[in-house]
Amino acid sequence: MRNAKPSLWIWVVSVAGLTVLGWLALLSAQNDSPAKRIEALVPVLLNGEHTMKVDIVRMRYGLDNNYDILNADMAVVQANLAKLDVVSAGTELSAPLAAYRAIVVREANQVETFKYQNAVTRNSLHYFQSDAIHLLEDLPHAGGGQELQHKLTRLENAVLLLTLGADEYQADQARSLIGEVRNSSFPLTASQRETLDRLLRHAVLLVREQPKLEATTRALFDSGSRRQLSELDSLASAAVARRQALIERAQMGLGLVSVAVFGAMVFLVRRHFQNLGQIAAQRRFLQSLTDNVGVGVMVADPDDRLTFVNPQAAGLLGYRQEELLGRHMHEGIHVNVDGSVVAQAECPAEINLQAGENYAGEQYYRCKDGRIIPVLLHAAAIPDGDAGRLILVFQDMSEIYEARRRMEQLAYYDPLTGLPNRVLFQDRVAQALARARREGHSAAFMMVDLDNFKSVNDSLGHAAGDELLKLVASRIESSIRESDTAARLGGDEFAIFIPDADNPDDAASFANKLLNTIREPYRLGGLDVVCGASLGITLFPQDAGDADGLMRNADTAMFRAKEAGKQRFQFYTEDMGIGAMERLRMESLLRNALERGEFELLYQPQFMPDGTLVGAEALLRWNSPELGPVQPPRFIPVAERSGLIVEIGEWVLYEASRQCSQWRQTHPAFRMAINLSAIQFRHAGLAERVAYLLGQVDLSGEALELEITETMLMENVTHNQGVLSSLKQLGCLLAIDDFGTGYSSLSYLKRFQVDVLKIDKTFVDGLGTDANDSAVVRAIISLARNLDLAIVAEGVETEGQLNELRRYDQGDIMVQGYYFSRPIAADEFEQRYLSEASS
Amino acid sequence: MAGLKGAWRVWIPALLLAAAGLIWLAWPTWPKRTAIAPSALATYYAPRRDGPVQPLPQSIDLNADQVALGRILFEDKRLSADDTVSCASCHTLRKYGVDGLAVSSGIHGQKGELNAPTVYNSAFNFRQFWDGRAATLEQQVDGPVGNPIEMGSNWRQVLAKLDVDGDLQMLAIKAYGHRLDAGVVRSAIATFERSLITPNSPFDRFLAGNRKAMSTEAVAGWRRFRELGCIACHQGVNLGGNMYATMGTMGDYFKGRPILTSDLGLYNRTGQAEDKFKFKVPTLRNVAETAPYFHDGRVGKLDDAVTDMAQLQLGLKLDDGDKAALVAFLNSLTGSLPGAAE
Repeated sequence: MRNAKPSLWIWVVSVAGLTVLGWLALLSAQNDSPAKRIEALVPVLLNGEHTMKVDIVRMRYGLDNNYDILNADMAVVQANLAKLDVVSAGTELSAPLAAYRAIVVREANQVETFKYQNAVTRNSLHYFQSDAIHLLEDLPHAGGGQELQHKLTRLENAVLLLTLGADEYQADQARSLIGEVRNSSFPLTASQRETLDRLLRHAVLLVREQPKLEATTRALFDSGSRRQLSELDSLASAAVARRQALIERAQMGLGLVSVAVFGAMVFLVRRHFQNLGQIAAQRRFLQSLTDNVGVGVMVADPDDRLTFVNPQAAGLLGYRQEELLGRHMHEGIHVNVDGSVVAQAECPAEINLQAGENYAGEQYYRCKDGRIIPVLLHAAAIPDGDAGRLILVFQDMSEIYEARRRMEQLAYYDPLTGLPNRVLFQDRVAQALARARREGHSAAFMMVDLDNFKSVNDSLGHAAGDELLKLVASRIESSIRESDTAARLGGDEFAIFIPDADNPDDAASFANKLLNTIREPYRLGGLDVVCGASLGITLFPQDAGDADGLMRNADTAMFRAKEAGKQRFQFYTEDMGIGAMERLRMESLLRNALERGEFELLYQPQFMPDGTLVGAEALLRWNSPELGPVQPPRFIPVAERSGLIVEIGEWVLYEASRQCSQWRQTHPAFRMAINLSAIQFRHAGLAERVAYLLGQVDLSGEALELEITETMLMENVTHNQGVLSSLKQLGCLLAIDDFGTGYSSLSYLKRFQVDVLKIDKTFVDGLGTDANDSAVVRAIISLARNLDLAIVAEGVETEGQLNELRRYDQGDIMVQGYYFSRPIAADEFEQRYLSEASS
Repeated sequence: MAGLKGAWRVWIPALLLAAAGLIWLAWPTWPKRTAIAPSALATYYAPRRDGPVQPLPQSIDLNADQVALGRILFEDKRLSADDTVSCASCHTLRKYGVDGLAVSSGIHGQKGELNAPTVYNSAFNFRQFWDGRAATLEQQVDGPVGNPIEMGSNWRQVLAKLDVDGDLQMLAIKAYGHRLDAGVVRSAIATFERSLITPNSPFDRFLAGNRKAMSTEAVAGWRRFRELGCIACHQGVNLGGNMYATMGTMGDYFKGRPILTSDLGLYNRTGQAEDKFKFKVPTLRNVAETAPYFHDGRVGKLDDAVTDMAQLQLGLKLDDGDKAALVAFLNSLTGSLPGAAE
């Protein structure tokens, strides 16, 4: 379009061209020039003059006698002459024309004179003739009468000659004859006298007027009008010819200029359409650009009305394009996040543009359906734009924000329960701690672990387990306050942070309530399931000053609660902290203990009350070079937590079986009691494993007595049934360890075909001294007998205890304890009880 | 929109061209001032060659609005200086356009020197006034208005008085497309006067073929009129009014009394000696009704006028028979007055 900029010279050339065209057109159109008109009128004037002169002759000879005709003839000449008034003075035609005008004026006067002279001479001639004829007849034809007749005849002839073409001589002749007639002395009658007088008066008039009439007529015919007109005609023709030549040249010029103008117009029109084509192509390019740019593009005019909207902009805002055109940006589209209208004066883009700067930033637009979407807006002014003032390019950010939110959710939230995950939790705790430290608040940190989640998961499936976790999470979430934070740290472990727990009692009551809430039955897959939890509490800043410490403490306390019997909470105490440290150290040491052969099995013999050896219980010892000998109650929980228990248990099972097999070669009835850990027991394939070991060490099943706790038995009934029946098929004996400390279902004891009940040491301790303990022992024995189970009393340390037991014995009670032997190494055991000497 | 805006280089010239074309097309149809053509006799009357005399036409084709305006102005005394004299004062329409006086009275009762000629059929006179100084009726209007003895006024004065007459101005606008001015007044009065024709006289009916329209005596008079040579000057449609003639070709009309300037006639215009006592030959139409006669109104009776004319112009002493016949003929020249006279 730059080349189409109209410059002054185009106008100058156009105006000049048009002026030349107009001038040439004017020239070539001037065929009605005065000369041309004269040329046209000269024949008309000649004709008029001719007609008038013919009529003069006709009047003269009495062919016509109506002067109206002459007047009309003259009027025609004068009217046609008046048409030549267009000839301006001073031109070459004006002088001859003026001469002709003077001629016409003269002619007009001569015509007037002619009319009168013609009229009177005709009348006089008439009277003269008739009077003369009358007198000539009346006068006597002799004497004086004859003489008068003679004179009258001569006068008559003279007058006649006068009328045929009078000259002065004939007029003089006539005048003298008139005198002669007048002076005639012939006596006339009165009537004759009167006639003669009249005759003479008419003769006088004729003699006077006839030559004048003759002269007038002659003057009219010799007026020079014809000559003057032909001179005018030739001058006019020459002028017309000159003008014609000029016109022809002008016409040629006109043609040439017209061709040039036409050519220029064709050129301009072509260029115009080329420009239009270029503009259209440019427009299509811009159109496809704005159509496909993928962001919203709008243009607003200085009145804030939208003059352009691309399809994306309309689509993003939910309008049709034509609906948006003409709408005001700041009346319903540009809004604050709360939906209130942003005034044009407050629009940050406007403010920036006023300052001459572009704008980029986040704003909010309202869609047609009322949604308010965040947009990333770029605004720029259009310099010198006549279509608009402000171009707005914007991008809908709501999807991006949503994606960002989802990513945050994934990174910081547990996808299953929707609770914050460990990362977010630690972050929040750190922040809350910083605030609490600043403000001098105390805070409580709790760790919650479900007690028997594993069995739910195993028996009802993972879907149910997940559902349970979700339900627990929602119960936790609904129990805490807004300011508290709950998180799922992994598995069935939850953490709760209470930022303003200045009173430990409040924390305790909260923990209690929470545990009861969790303990409410859950509806899972049509079943009501109960799932308790253990909870550890630690306090800030008393127990630890940072998130890691608090988490460790709470974990410890929670394990204490579990150890203490589950479904309870436990405050952290400092000694726990030490234990925790120890446990951590122990765990790392345990990892290498098996490889380094630091484990050892000690054997404690079991006897019939009569002293016959029945077998031994294999008891694990850890001889750590770093820690010294470590008792199982100290390291087993650590092993269980770290998962090392599986390997350790495997080793125990193998080693004990191997030892048993060896000893049975000499003592075929020897029985080896082996403790199974809960994890070992839950582990799938336990029976297969035992069967494999038995084969490996060449041992029959009945040589092994596998000990499990009541709790282990009751934990997962379905699973247990399968495992236990497989073990039974191998011939293994089944013992319930620590019987009486947990709770058991008697029907389960029966159903699982338990062989042995081991009475816990705590009951045996009071035997013989504590009536309650004795009663318990008696009751257990009675129970066992009813169920047809064998009995082992553990921890017999005194003779009194042994004696008491003996009182109850009916040959079915076996004993074990320090009274007989502490657990001892295999060599010593072999030496003491299995050598030839001992047997 | 940008495309259309950018095309102003094309459509502005196109618009101008179109406008010019429209103006060109519409130009001839635009309302024009009604032309005030100087109405020469030739434009409404063409003489015939079938005889010395011909009947009056029934009417002339005229603009009715202009005639109506002219009639009002004809009777408007504001044309005179003191609002006492109108055209109609001397040219009384129902009296065949004359006042019956030898000479008429102008403003302040002043007497003129000439007899007021009839306005009837004046359209057919070849010139106006006794001395023929006005070529058209329009030119004639200026005469009495400016003559100090007659109306004694001028156009500025007259138009100032007429200017306040709204009704009159409306008529002028209707008839001419603009307000009154001297040209309009002249044209309107002249146009009205052209409507003053008296056709259907017995003579005209006789000429048209009705042999019984005239009495035998009048027919004899018509024959004598030609035989005696009256016809030499009194011919044409108006039986006169188409030439100048000397008053007293064969005798002295002014014998025994002083000559007034107005008696010199055409001489006053040309200064030619032979034009002394030359006057326009007056029409004989309605001559029986337009006494007194001659330029100075000296002769009151028609038969005296006939006698004088024969004596002065033909050198003839009429006998009683001829005179009676001529008078009978002249009486048959009286036509019917148009509606305007009522």
